[in-house]
Amino acid sequence: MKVDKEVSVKNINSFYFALREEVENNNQVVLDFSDSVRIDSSAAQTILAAVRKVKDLDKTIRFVGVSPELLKLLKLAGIKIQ
Amino acid sequence: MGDMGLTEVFLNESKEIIGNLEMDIVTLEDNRENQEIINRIFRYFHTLKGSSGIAGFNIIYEFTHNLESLFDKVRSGDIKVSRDIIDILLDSIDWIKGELFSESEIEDSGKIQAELTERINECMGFELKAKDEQTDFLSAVGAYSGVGSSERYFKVIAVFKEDIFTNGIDPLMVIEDLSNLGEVMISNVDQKRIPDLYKMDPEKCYMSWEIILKTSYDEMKLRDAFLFVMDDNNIEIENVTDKYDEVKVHGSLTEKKLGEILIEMGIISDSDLEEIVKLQSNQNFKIGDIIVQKGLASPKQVDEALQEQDKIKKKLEISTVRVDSAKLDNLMNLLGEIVIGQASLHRVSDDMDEDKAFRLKNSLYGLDRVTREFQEQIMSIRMVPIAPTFDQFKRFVRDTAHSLGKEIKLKVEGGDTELDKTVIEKIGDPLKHMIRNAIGHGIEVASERKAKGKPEAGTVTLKAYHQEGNVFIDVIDDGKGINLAAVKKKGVNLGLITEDETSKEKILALIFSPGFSTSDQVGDLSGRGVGMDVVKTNAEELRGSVEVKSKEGEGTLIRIKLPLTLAIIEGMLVKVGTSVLIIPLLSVIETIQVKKDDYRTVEGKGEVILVRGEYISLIRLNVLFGLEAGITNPWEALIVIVESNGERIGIMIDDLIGQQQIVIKSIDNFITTSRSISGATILGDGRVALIIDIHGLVQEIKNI
Repeated sequence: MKVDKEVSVKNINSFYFALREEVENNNQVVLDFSDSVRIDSSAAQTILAAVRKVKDLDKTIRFVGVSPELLKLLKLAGIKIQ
Repeated sequence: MGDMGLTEVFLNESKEIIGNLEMDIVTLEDNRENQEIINRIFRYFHTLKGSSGIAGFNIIYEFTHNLESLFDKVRSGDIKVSRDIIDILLDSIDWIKGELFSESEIEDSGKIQAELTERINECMGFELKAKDEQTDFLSAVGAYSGVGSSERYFKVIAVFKEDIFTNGIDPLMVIEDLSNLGEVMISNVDQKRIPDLYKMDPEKCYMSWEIILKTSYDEMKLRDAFLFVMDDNNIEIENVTDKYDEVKVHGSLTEKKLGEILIEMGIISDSDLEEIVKLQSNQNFKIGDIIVQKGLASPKQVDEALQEQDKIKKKLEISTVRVDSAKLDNLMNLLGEIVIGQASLHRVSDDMDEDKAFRLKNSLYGLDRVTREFQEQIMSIRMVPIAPTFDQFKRFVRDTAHSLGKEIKLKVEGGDTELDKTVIEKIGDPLKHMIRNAIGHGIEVASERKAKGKPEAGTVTLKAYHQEGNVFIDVIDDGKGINLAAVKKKGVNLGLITEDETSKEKILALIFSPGFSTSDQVGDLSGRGVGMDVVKTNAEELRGSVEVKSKEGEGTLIRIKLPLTLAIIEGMLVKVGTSVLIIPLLSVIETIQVKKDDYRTVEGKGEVILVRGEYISLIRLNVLFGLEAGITNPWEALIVIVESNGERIGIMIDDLIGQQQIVIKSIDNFITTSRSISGATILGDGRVALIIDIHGLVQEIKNI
């Protein structure tokens, strides 16, 4: 799943439903951040909830194309990148 | 753009930040290595960037991001502070100010922004290269790293409200701001607060953090990061340095001793300090003096450390609440009404029987005491230090001096002096006038100064101090002084004085005359007098006065005398005929009765009385204000001796009624244009009494 350039509360609903669908329909969820420059708290908490859900469902989630800036942000948001 | 509330908060905060930035940037020009100022400027840009992003001012966000990057390089030592950088920063500040606060569209704003961005980028690239060339061996081996650092550890708990997104605030951005203040050692997001993916509402906030931050900043700086969220969210910041720092900590971190600060500044070592402490216990000298005496630090370095110590103390002591100044004004007005009400009750007690009157007066005495204390407390809230007003001129002095090709330093003394906020608000313009004159016409160009044996850089000193219930503000320059002969000549030409006039004070005072300052006089009169009548008028509007002292070749001093407050004064109630008038108690020297022999009429001077061997003018208020006369013979009346600017006059009154706090109500010009009246008050019985402006009265009788 390709993450938008910027995910914030303005477009969080579309990101949320897309990610839900992704979690429901795939055993391995891949979030591609190669176009993404910034996410906000609403996106971060959605990803955190998705990570937990994926674990509960015995599925996996991977993050790809994360820029160093975004990596710093994801880490601050408590999202662990393997 | 964000919602209006947020925008307003952002604009208010930005105004403050920009003001501080301007001051610090100008100060930095003369203190280019001062890491504290550099860090502060970086923080201001960073905060401005963060809050502009939150408030939706994206252009400002992007622009300040560039400035932050530039200053990050300055902070890390990659770029050295230069005149070019100062210019870029100040021009950038001007552009930001225009974008945020200009009521009309700025012409070519986009173009200016692009040019500034280009200059910033150029500066970063060019300077980096220059730095590479300059890198010396010691820097390369890290000899300077860590000097002056003082790391602390803070535990930050931030739990945000569910509806915070509706305010346009992104908690992650706030945490990011916080993380930029240091190194995040531990960061835990409480995931238990985040509901199940299928049950969550992504538009609600469930984020909360527990962070351990290692930083060299103090708690105040950390709180700055939470500026917009502190009130409505659960934010806790705790200094946990003791738990995390294994390094020996000297005493409490919250209060630092001078020696510790000097160690942190890298000026003295631990062993130096130990030795000095021993010496101190033997010699009983101040530690700073011993350090200077032993040559371990310069007096300037000790002063800087003392200032730092003071700052820390103040930051820790001050627990402030921001209050809309209009609320303070309202509070003062309400207190005024209470004072009037009390006066009214005093009046009622006069008509009561003795026993009841005694009891009422007794109660009122207690109430008076509380009211007075209440007034003092409100006054102290309204009192603000003049330092920010003085500091704002640093930029002005720099720019004006540069535009005239002069080197001028602004020296500020007594910045802690406090004035009523109303006075502070109104004093800015007159000060600017005086400083402009000092720069433009007082201080000579470098070559001229050098030829006279003066330092090439001129100095304008702003000095404030309290004296006798008044505040004095001096604007002093070490320029060429006022050409007395030229002023006199001009005064004679304008018919303001005669050729016989010899009083230096009177001649100098001409520069405050309206119409005295026309452009053709600039050269003739060393430029003095330009707009000085405005200075005088403004000072007098504040119930103050202005005087000038000057010595040719050495400089000029212009002194503004202002009252501490404009709202309530201690007044003496006096009776003239059937009228009651108020004389400000501060101007009263004494009240006397004169003998018939001590009363004279002198040609050209009018009525005079002999007081302690000196003849002073006698004023009849009934004549001056067209009131009904009471006592007509001066030797049967009471004479109140008042003083203004060293000049004494006697005011003839029928009787003294008493002394009380007077709430000043302004009166419009259509009621009276007399300079002898400064306002009016409402007495306890509901009557209106005029308040005499002693300074204006003295001036007015001089002109009669």
